[in-house]
Amino acid sequence: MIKQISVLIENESGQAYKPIKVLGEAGVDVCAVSVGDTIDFGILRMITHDNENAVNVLKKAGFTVNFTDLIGAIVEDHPGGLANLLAVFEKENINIEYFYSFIQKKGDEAVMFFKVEDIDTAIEKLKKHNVRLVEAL
Amino acid sequence: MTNYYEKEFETMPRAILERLQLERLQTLAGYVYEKCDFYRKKMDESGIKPADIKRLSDLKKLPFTTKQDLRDNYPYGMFSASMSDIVRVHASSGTTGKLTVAGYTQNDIDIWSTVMARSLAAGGCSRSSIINVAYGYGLFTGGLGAHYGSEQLGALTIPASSGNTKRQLQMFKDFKVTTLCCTPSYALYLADEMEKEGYKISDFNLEQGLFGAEPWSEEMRLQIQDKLGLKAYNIYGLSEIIGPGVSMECECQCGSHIWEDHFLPEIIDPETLEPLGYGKQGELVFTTISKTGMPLIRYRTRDLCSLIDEPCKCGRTHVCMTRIIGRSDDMLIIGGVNVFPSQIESALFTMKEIEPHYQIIVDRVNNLDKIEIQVEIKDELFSDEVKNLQNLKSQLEKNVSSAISIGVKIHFVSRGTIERSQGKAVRVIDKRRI
Repeated sequence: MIKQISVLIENESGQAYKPIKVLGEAGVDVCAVSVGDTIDFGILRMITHDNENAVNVLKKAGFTVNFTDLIGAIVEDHPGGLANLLAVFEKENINIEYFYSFIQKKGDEAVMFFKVEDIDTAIEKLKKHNVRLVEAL
Repeated sequence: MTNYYEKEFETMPRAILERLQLERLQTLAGYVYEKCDFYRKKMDESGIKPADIKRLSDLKKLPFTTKQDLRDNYPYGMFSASMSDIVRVHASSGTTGKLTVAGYTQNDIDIWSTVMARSLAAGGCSRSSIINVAYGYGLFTGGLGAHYGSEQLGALTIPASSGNTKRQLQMFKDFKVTTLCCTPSYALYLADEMEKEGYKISDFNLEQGLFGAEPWSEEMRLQIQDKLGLKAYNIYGLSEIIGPGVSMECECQCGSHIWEDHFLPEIIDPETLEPLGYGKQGELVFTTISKTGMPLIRYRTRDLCSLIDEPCKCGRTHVCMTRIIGRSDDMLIIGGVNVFPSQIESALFTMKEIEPHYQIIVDRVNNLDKIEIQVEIKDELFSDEVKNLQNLKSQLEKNVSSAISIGVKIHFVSRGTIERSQGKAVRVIDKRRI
């Protein structure tokens, strides 16, 4: 399981910059980012190399912050790679709330992060199909 | 030439007016003591008998009545008349979800129609006026109050009610409307729509407007007069006392004449409850000395103003009150509807996700009042999923809107955005420039 940090932001210019700047100044390396947005608010979702420090500095700066567990799964970085992985979710009837990717600098593999309803059951099912899961970055 | 409706009463010499007030006050004290359990109990507790009212200054011996008393005795407990004599009720919204009810006998409807007719006359209206009543008709006293007064005056009365602005403008033109009765914010809204629809002031015959039911300012008066091409008058009232027509400006516009032969005014210090003299700012208190349905003794309006001790050039002897400059409680009047921040607070806190920090922001956009509520979400209950937050937002909007009967917009803000106060929290920011 991968820990994700989510931060509430208002849908106004400069709102995504503020938390990212705070993390940069605290020396936290952000390795993947995704944003869920609506007309008046957004949720900035991040995977970092130092969650504890990240949450501390964000809270201190006044952000509304929470943790979520995601599944990190390795996907082959070639056409059809993601389709093969999603086929397993489809077959096992695992409902995905959202997902996003993190491409490593080296190699021909990418990591996809998935938010699902029941993470423990989902992990068991994925393991059955020999999906390679990532525990930490 | 001053335009009176009941010259004899409106210009009554002070000494005779005060004798009439005393007679009516004495009759009232005896009447409520006999008819209303609430007042009998309250007067007994304060050790005062109706016979103790020997002069007008004895008024201060009587106990106060508050909005809470009306709520505690919901719906009919404050009525003095027997139920078979009550012919109508009106009501306004209260903090607990319970309505604040006012009951009227035929006598009270007649008094109301008369003070409203006087008010229209003070604003220059006559039998030949064509009066468009654009206050809402219903439980709210604005519509029916102005309507009955206009008919009593003998004017042509158009029961337009509020809304359907295009049709209102069409009627202004086709029906040759001379007089507009509505809230000042609706008057400004009508003015803007008038411009958009391509009407000119010269398309209309508007002469005057009677505006009330919400606080407004001299600046708004100038804007309304300029845009609608009429003379704008301030009219004041509240449903507990009778409705619109408790006080009204005359052509001098140096304050509003309180129709003192029916409503006995006092100004008190809202902290010490001591009566204050003329010219001192404090809370306005009324005793209704002629009503029979639900007469109220020393009712605390919570409206802050002062009384003006100068005879008016119009010849009316009834005392003038200044504009309302604020409230001694935290009640907001939004689009004519009474809203207490505590109603919003209790509706918000039915959801466990919300931090106890919130701020209510009231603004006037295109002359219509809007409420936005900024709320902070608890970290541990803040969801990473858009749909959860959207559900929370719409649930909160639904809860609050149904609690206060006005649509609101919820705005999520980060923890710490809402300023933490050392003393009393600033819960309401009223950006309306009134």
